[in-house]
Amino acid sequence: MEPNNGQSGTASDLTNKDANSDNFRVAYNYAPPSNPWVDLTVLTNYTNTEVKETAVNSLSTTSTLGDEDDRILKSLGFRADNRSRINFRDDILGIFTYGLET
Amino acid sequence: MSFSSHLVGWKAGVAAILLASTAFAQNTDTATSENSANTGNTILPSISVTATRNAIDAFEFPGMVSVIGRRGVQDIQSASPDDILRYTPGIDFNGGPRRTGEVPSIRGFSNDDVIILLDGARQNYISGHDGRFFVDPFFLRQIEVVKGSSSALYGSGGTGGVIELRTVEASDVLAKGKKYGFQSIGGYQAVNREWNTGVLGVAKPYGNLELLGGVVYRNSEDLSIGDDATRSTLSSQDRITSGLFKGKTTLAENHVLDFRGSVSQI
Repeated sequence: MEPNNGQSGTASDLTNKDANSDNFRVAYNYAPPSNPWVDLTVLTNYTNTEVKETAVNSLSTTSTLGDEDDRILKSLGFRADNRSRINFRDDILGIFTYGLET
Repeated sequence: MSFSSHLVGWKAGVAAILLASTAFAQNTDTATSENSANTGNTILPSISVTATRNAIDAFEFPGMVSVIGRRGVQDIQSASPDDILRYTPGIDFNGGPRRTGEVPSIRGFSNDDVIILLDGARQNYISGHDGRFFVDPFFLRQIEVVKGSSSALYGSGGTGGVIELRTVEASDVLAKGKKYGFQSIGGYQAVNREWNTGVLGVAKPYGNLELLGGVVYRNSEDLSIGDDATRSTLSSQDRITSGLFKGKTTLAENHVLDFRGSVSQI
């Protein structure tokens, strides 16, 4: 129960807010110690974030009692990256990180 | 990979390597962990994974990165992520004091210039006067803040930096060699008459399977603001239920598959 603008210190309008944030992800990692070239991570995730508001009074300049205001964002993500470790010399270690992300 | 060597104490920095499970880092840190098992608590340097997408000593990283471990998160007894990051240089949360409206900024950059990752998953929600992400601090094991541009490593955005939040692992809760364990919290804060309660259960029934589940409930009334002379209240009653579920299994040697799901309802 808070104003439409949750950051305001003075707003007197009130809304019932339902904020949901659901995150799901599956990740897979393969890193054989015997092979420094391979340290692979594949990750896919789904995120659903939504904020739903229902005005419980008519003091807002933009909404009246009972008005509903929904904001929903669903994201589907995928990421794959690999790390290769190469010893150029005993005292110089190079790590190459590369991959893609959508 | 072996988990047992990481079960000692509260070194969240070391445990972060579990996520990266780098063969290189693992070898060195296994030795350190064994050492600390013999001597009690040894404070290890913070390890940053976010900064370079490789486990690296946070101090050696040629840039600015802050790492806050589970103990740091718990010591602060936070009610929102803002409480945890408030004392981290370069980062600021605007839009308070309602936790639902808090938006982070790094070095003055905010919105899509700040990438927020929850266990590696981008949190893309940006809306008017709402917050960017909703996660209960009880579930957090570590927060990393990389300051400065990281665009090349993390895709579009990130001019200001990256905030990566990681949720608790079974190894953070279980004592060495134990199969089952739980943690619980209960708290009260006067400013908004908030009480909270939560429980987190973990199981490692077989050597290669880790399970974790937790739920937290927070119930708060309006916030008090101002001093005695100017006291007023800010409408902000919250009823927050958060849940977390994680599973992790080693399919074959060096093949690790993990699943996590979290729900948060305010």
